[in-house]
Amino acid sequence: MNHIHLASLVLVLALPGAAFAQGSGSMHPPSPNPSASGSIEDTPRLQPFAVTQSAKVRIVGIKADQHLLIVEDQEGRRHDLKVDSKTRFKPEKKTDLSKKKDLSVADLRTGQVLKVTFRISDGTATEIKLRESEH
Amino acid sequence: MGDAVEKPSKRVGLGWLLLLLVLSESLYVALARLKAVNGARPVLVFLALMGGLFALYALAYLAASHSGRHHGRTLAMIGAGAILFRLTLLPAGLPDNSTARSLLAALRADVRGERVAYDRYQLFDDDVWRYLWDGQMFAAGTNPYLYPPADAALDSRGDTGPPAPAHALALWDEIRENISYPEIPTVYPPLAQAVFRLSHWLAPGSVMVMKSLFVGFDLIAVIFLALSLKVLDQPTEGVLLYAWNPLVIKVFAGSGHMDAILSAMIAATAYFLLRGAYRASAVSFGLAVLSKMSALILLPFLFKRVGRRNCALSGAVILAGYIPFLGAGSGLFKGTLTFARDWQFNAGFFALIRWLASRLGPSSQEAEMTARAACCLAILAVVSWLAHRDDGGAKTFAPYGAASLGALIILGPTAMPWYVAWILPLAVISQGVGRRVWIYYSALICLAFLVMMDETEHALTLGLEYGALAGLVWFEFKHAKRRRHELELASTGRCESPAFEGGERSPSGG
Repeated sequence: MNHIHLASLVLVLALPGAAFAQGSGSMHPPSPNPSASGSIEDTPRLQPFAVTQSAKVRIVGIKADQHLLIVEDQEGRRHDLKVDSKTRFKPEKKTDLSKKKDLSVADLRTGQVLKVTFRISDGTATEIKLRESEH
Repeated sequence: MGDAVEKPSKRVGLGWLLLLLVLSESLYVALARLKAVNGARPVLVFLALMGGLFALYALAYLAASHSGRHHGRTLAMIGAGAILFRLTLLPAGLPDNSTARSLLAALRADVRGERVAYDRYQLFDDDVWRYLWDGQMFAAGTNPYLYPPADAALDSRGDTGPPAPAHALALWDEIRENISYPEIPTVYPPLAQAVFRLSHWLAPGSVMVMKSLFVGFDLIAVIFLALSLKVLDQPTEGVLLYAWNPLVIKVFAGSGHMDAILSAMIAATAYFLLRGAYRASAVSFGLAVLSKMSALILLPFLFKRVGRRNCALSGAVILAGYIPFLGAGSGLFKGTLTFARDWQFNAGFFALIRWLASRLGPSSQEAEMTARAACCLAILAVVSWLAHRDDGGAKTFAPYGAASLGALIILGPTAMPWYVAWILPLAVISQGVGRRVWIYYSALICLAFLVMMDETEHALTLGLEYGALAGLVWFEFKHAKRRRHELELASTGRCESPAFEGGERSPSGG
């Protein structure tokens, strides 16, 4: 085997060492870089590998103790939407909530219209945008 | 007499190929209908389907190889399979594909721009929304490099001019919502932007039309590869290795990645080099860089073959492509720089260096920077070494180019599965180890999708992926060495170069 083959093999064989080197853990998602002017929304994707879908829904019930929202989609079908500690709350632009910071599940009311992004596999909301304060 | 011996073999090969085509198609139908979401079951089913497709693909290559050289019917069947598999995967990601009627209704809505008919993710990938958005920005006269999709300046884009229909506003709002990392400006170079704009011109907001354009480029790559194999006097059936590659079909037809443009341009560059058409090759290379900058890594190998003047032509093509976007100023490469600085995924070498650096004491940020610098140096070193060894022959561009692109992916901090599709056109027209290693990698990198199980990148995945690759490379080198030895013993007195058989002079052993 010539030195070229040997060098290639050493390089490739070193790669599985990464298995021991890295340890388990989440990948490093790209960090958000808001522009200097601040006009760009700071919207990092905290769960970069979540297969999600977005939908416009209306709250028809809140089960705070179960961290569950009962929502109705635009076709009138009802769904359970889970909320966990990773769920991000954001106000929709041009609404009376847009100046409010630190939104949480306590700001949700029955009848509110939301834009939700949820993980399809288990129905957990990754992001909730409050579109209006009252419906 | 020769015909009498060859005919039964041809028939057996073609019969098997037909059977494998039908079996593969059934798996592609299942893949198109797979609900690709997070969780162990969907991901394992996806990997099982891909594994099955790769097994059928390997058998199909063997069957095609036994059907005779330059056999028209074999090539027709390979072409039919290539088109059929791609057409089958185009609707992947459409939630309403349980019946032909619902599928057609969803496709009609998508092509007419009535609503977003596709799921946000198509077989675990969601890059297509950015392409649609960029196409719309470009068509509206807005420089796509200037504003990231989340920029507030774009909120009022519909406030001036004639009012847009409500469904159109809702469509573009939803497309905008679906874009990953909307705070980062586009990274896609001008040729990609032109294709996005063409898609917008054909059918605004249509995922199907965008994906179809990429499939078109993908098939152009197939044609260039078949022509290249013919020029090389190699069995044209070898084109199956690209045309039926399950990863290629998944990432372009299934998930709609724009890298198909790059694959086509790389295949064109290699073909024109083989024909000695250096100007056409230089233009193709310029277009490759205009579709994705990673093609720049091929520059030293192109330079050796086409010379300074033709490389200047490539530069002129690249410059001409950027002229319409120069208004973005420093913003032109902002997205690309962010990507180079921050992105990391499925990178074994990077993870190893970062771990080693973190053991030596620096903070995690410093360890990450050290790892990025080390990756950069390692890539530079490998490419410099390859360029130094490069003999400048028309036939060796493919193995050297494949090795350079492979080094960029394996040693870089981001090894997305669809990146391997850049290497495959060059791998297919290489021979020996230099071909097989990259085919193996195209199968093994599918393991990266294990991250979708629990949204966590596990060390075991990297170990499996790169460990298996290392094992296969080791096996191939041993096999090549033994074969060379046998050839030397068997053909003493014959002046035969093993460069394209045993892969001894090309870079990957190769």
